[in-house]
Amino acid sequence: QDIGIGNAKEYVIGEISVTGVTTYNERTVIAFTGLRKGEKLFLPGDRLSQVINKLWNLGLFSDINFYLKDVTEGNIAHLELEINEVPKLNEVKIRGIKKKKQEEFIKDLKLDKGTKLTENFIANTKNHIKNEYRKKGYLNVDPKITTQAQKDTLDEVVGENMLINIDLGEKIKVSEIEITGNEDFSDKKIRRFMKNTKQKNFFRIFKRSKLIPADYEEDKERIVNKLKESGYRDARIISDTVIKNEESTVKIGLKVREGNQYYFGDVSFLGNSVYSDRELKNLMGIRKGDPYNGVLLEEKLTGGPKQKEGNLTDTYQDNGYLFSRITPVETRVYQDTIDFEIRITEGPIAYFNNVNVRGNDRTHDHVIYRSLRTLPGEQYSKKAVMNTARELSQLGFFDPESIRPDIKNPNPVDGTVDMEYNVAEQGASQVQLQGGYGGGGFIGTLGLSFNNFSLRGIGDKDAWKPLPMGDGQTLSLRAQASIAFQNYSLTFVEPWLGGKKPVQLSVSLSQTKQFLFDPFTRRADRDRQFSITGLNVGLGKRLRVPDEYFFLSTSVGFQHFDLQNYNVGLFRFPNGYSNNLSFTVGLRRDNTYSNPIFPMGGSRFNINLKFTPPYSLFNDIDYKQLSLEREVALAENNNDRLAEIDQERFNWLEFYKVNFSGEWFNRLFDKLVLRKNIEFGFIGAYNSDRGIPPFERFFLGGDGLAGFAMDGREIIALRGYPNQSIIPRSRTNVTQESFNDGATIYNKFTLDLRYPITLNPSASIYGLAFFEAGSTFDSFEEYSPFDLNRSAGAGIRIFMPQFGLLGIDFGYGFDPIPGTNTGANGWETHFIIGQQF
Amino acid sequence: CGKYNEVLKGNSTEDKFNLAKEFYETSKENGKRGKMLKALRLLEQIQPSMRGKPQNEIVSYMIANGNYIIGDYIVSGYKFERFLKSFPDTPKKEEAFYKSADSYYKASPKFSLDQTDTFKAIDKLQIYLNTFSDGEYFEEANSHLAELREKLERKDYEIAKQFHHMEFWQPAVHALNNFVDNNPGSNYLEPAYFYKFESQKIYAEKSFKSIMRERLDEATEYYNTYIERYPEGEYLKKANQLYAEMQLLYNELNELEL
Repeated sequence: QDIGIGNAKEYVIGEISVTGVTTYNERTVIAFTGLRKGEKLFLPGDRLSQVINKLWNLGLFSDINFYLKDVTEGNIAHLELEINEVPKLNEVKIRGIKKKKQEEFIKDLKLDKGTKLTENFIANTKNHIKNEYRKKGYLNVDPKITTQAQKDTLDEVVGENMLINIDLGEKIKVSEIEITGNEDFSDKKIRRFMKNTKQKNFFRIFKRSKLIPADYEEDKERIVNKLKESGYRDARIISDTVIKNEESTVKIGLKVREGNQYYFGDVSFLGNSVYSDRELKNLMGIRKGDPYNGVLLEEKLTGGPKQKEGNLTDTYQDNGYLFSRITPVETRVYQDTIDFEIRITEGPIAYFNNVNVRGNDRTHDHVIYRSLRTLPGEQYSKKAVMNTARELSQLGFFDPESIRPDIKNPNPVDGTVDMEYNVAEQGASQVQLQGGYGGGGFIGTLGLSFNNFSLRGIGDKDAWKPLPMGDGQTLSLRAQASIAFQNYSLTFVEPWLGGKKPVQLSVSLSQTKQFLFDPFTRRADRDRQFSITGLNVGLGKRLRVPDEYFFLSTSVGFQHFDLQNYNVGLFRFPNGYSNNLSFTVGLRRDNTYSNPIFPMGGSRFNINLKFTPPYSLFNDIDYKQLSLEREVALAENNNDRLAEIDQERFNWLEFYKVNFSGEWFNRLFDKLVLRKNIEFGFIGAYNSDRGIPPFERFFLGGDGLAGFAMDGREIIALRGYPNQSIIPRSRTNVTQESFNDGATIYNKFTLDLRYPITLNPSASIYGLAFFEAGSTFDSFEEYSPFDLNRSAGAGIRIFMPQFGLLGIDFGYGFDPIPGTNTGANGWETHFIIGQQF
Repeated sequence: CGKYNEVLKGNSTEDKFNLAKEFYETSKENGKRGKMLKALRLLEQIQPSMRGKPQNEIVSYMIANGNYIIGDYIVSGYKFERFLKSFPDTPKKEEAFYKSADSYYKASPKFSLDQTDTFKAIDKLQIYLNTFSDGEYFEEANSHLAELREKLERKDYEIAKQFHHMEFWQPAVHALNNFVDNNPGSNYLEPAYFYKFESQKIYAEKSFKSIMRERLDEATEYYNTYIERYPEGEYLKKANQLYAEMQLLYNELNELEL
């Protein structure tokens, strides 16, 4: 409906012609207007202004005019529409800044070909650039934008070229910050409150002294907050001036009014029934006469923005009072003292009702629900919610950033609350593919590790995408091969056998083959080989009694050694076999806290017993006779007979072994931690004539890195000495059989002083100084635990989640290496990879 | 497949549509995945230029149905939804409605995983049933719906039962109670009632003497509910045995109090 304006007259639309600069054809433009020939309208009138508005809103035109061209008989109005299309952007050139920055602007501002170049767009572009540089301290930045029509060869306009000329000018630096009006705080102190706005100073290397308007504003606020924290709750900045000095520096003048310092008066509590006034007061830790500090008060009551621990709200929340409210009220202000009343509405205790998990597209419910610490029907606790989130992230199946516990349907009437844990699956599988050079040729390793495997899913065709996943089991496969060596292993771990309690079952299978390698021809002789086939089944369980830090593990292992014309130095027979069937029982207690990389307290104990069946008790072989015969054969150098006897002795290995270690962490002061460690190991035989086999023995000295060894040897570090050099002192190398040099008893004592440089989760670094001592023995007759090889030194450790632990230690050995008498061993350097001292 | 590549790289929308249609029809007949993927690629390429044209309807439908045929249900569910929104008066309205719901039904995972798609499918199937009360797919929709509801019941039940399995007796009672309240017609009702009773009984048994009677009384109540509802129930024998054990505990308590 058209309404005429003023002395308008009604017309009928005749022809509409379109003029001006446009790439659209006439009919399209008329269609845009919506005006039809024969339509009646008032001139001047509402209808036409609506049309103009409509065209404007399209954003395609920069100029729109209607003209009445002619009026013919019957009040037929012929209209002319003059429109000018908004120019399109053809090409952008930016001058005065670096290429990379140019591209960034083009991307951020969407300066693409074909963009409509409205006035507004150009102004926005200018402002954006200006602001970006002002943020960096270029206060005088002045971008100039010019546009120019670009014509093609037919002289038609194809678009506008845009030239942005940026004159950065100088960075504005702060020459001086002058503080006035301060009485109790020194100028220097107030300047220190400013975090990002600093005076120019020759010694300031890391902090900039640029003037950035946004930071400056923040810093002014910071000054006021800092003053308030010290009780000056009326503190204000009365005025501030920025005076331009010369070309590129400014002088800042700040006038502050500190006001009076206030103090906490009496703090009383109202509405508390669960905790007494006294308990709450102790928890708050604010005493009468302390300088008034609003930030501290908030932290003590609610945790504040940083969610500081040990606040009143958390105390209530951890004990079920989800609906509790705590509000401080100033009851009296007299002179410079403020009395407070903390009003507490405790509300009912809340209990968890429904507990749900969302977002588990791969991991099955039962794997998640067994990790929950918030169970239906149990009392609400904020701590339990946080612990659950932590447990879920420790599973490793979910993105830790996106685990979100949500409180749903809190119902103060019933005292119930639902919990919903939102998770997002993340890749839990790892592939390791590695090539290296060593041991006389190329070594290739392929490792696959599936950390959320599902054994049940193997029979289910639909579960193979690409592998059955979601039951929280681990399956790892590993193959390693070189010319002379092959190793295959498969490990399966179910962390919750039976799903009732966290009982860990692990099964591993492995096969190792070593061929005789000729270093001169660089060929392996496949007919001469040594192989080990092994199977290990273990069960581990966290105990509840005597306390929850105990972990009990048991395992059965079987290894079959097979030699084909290959002398490994372990046996006196080049052809033959040996079996090792052993049982292991281990008990561990670990209550170290709180950072596993750098424990600040607690202790670790480990006792391990490994034993084989005592075959010699019941197999009716006279080992005494055999050992006599062996001595004879040894004396006669009768190798065939020796081989025969040794095969008899080692067909089934027979031994028992005890390991003990204890480790204590004490925090001395600040973060300086003392670590004390003792270790002891002993391997014995049931039948002294049959003897202790040359397997599983102790090798002490050096960095403790386990290299490749076929004999299950235990390598123990002792810094300040070469690797595996600490042989029993009683040995004189001449008379002993030199092929077997592992000891049967060892002990070791360590004192470490550690101090962390940084405990950042992405890279923890700490330094240490150590004193340690250890020795090995061949039998209890020789055992003298304090006849030690001592050393001392210092080192550094770096822990990064991707690489594990890396470190270097410099150790000085005070004693000679056993078997030599050249005096103190002196300095040794040890590189440590992936293991903790 | 030289022709396919040629057409794919070419500029003719018509050629693309015709070839896509050919592939689409053959694949619909023989169910070959490769052909359909090619058809979809062509169709997706021409779709933007169809915006506002009547042909867009058939192209959109073919894209949705193509994904449905090759079993990419997560995509097809969404595409059918979009199709219905863009063409509310399409003659394929019922089919699209059903296939969108059916896509979510088919994408709905095992009960032990996140059930977002199940909830979506239930909503869609319900709307289908309400809108097309004598529709072509009425029976399928009905049986799918029942299946999905059963799946959700199973999920709830298994979670509650897991607390029983892990010997968290009190949470088990609470969770099974919630299950019974929320799923009054479920197939899992009988075991739920039984395990609720068993959990409460063990919970009582492990309590301090001072509160044992109260908790035993509650267990007795649960026992009575169970035998009333399932006088010939599967767990009857076990329930009676547990009940007998409870009587011994009662006797012990009575003696202590004397």
